[in-house]
Amino acid sequence: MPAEPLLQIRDLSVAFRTERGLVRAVEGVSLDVEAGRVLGLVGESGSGKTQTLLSILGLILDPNAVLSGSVRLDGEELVGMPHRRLRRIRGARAAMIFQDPMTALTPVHTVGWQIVEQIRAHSSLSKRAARDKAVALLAECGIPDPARVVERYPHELSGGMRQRVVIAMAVSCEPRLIVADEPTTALDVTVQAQILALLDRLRRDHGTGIVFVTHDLGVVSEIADTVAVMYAGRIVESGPVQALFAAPRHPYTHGLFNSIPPLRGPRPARLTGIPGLPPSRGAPEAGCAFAPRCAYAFAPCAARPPLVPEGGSRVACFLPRETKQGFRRAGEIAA
Amino acid sequence: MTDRILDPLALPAAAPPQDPALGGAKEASSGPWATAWRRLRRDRGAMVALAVLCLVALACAAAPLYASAVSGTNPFATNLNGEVTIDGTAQPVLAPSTTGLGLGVTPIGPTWAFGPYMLGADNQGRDVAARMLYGGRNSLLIAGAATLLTLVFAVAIGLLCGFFGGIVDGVLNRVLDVLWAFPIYLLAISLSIVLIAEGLTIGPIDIRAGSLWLPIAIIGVVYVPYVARPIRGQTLSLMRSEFIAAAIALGVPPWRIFVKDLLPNIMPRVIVLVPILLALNMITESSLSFLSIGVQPPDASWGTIIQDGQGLLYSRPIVALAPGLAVALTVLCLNILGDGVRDAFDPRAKVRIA
Repeated sequence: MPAEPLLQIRDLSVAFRTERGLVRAVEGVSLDVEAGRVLGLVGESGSGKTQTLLSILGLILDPNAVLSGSVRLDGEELVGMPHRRLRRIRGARAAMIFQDPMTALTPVHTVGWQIVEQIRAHSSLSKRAARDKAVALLAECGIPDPARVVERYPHELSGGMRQRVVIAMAVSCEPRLIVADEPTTALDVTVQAQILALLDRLRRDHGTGIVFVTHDLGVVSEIADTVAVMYAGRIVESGPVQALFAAPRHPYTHGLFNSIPPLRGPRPARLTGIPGLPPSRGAPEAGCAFAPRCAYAFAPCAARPPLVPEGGSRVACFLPRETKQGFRRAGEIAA
Repeated sequence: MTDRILDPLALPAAAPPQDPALGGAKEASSGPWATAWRRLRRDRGAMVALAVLCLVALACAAAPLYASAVSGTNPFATNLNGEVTIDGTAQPVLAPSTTGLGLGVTPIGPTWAFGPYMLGADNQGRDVAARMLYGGRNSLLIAGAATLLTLVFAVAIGLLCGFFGGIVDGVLNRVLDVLWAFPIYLLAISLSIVLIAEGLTIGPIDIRAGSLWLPIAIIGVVYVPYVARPIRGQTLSLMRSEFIAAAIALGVPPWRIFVKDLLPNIMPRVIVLVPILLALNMITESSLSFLSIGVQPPDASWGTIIQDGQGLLYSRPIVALAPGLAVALTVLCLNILGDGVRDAFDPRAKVRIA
């Protein structure tokens, strides 16, 4: 029996009790992340990717949320773990990086203070030692003149610098797992590349597993080893990044790639999109959630397709294998 | 996979030390407090107001000195038959009235000289100028202490409501609603009547007629809902901010989030309320004292002196006018300072309250 992966999510579901009944944000999601590997979680807004991420660390604080399934970190079950124990895991063994570095740091303390606090919350280092470590961390995260930056307040730093500080805080206790919620979305492209390089180096040097949420397929191709594509709260396709990018097998994934305008050749008059809108998330749909927007929908789509292995990936679609192999990427993207 | 990624250290390390993100190399790092103080110091109006307030406070602090060295009379003892020598002639402090029916007395008018009875006497022959200074002490003390009391309660309630939510929020809010349901002066008058009649002892604090704790407690309590509500709202919005979420995600325990993240972030918003609340309390204190339910005679406050001067409005208007002007000046300065403080902490807020 193979060793259990660093992070093992099984049949995770998140729903919210609302006035209009139960709204299902995440349904039956299963994922594995190995140490030193990066999982890219892709999907459009509202597909449940952020909720999946938050539920890993038990960060869905809405009292109306209903969580079921299993999240195991190093074999330890996190779902239903008491807050007190969960708190010792957060930041120490699993850390989160937020989307917007502008708001993820408290404005009233210096960044050094914030990193020192974080270190001392999870270790018994002295203030002096924690401070030295903070400087070293900032240096490791590519911040020039870290000894001066620790004295700075967040508003005195640029977005890219702040995201480095946030990452420095996240890695300060050498977590086994980092979950990152669109950490590069708020940054411009050059800074984005630097941050991606930084994350990649951290996982190589420390063997950290990373779950990386984004809607940017270009970013996924840069950093991820495996990809999971989410639609309407479910995973529709997952697999190694090369296989999935070379030959998407789900019509939705195919649609996503088709929506990327080609880098070379004439610019299309209109950008290709996927017609229709994602379903509203009330009562569970009986069949495939993507069927109403799918050009290939046929009779079997009235039932829900299971996520089955196919050519190295796993796909949730009833289409015959030949049809799916016919999907090719319309335009080459950055990679 | 990794070969496509840029050399991780190449770009950032190449950045020269004068990274624009770090601002000028010379300028010292400054937190929100230092930044606000620097902005406030540039606000000329606010600095003038602050200077005037300091002068008023200093003058009031020097009240005993003035009473013994300049006015030379006891400002708390009646002086019905006294005489005072002005310009070499002895004059009675209280002269029989010469107007109307000739009833009552007319106290000596202001001499406008730096000496006894500079602002004249009240109807009991007491030096108005000296009483003004002693009254100012009480007025400022009560306004200040009541502000402190209000803030302690309001910040505690607002933070607890916003932090815990749920039942705590519900219960505390209903308590505030009860307080809020009373018009301020009605509540203040009701409280004072009960407290004057019954008294109340809480530890070292003895609230009874004649004690300064009485107006302090009353004024301190009545404004709590008005301050607690906005603080609760701001706490709620802070709780939704990402740095609180980040703190939770990094495993910071709740009490630490409360003390280290919430409290320091709410304090600038609390400070902004201080001058406004001081001004409001000043006026409330004067009003209550004027209605005889604040500072009790023979003690003085600006409000009680206005009340003393009420009966002399035709013959010696200065007795009511002087403390009235003192209240107006102080409140004006507090409001100007308050505007300045608010601008200093949030320069982007362009809304002005007329």
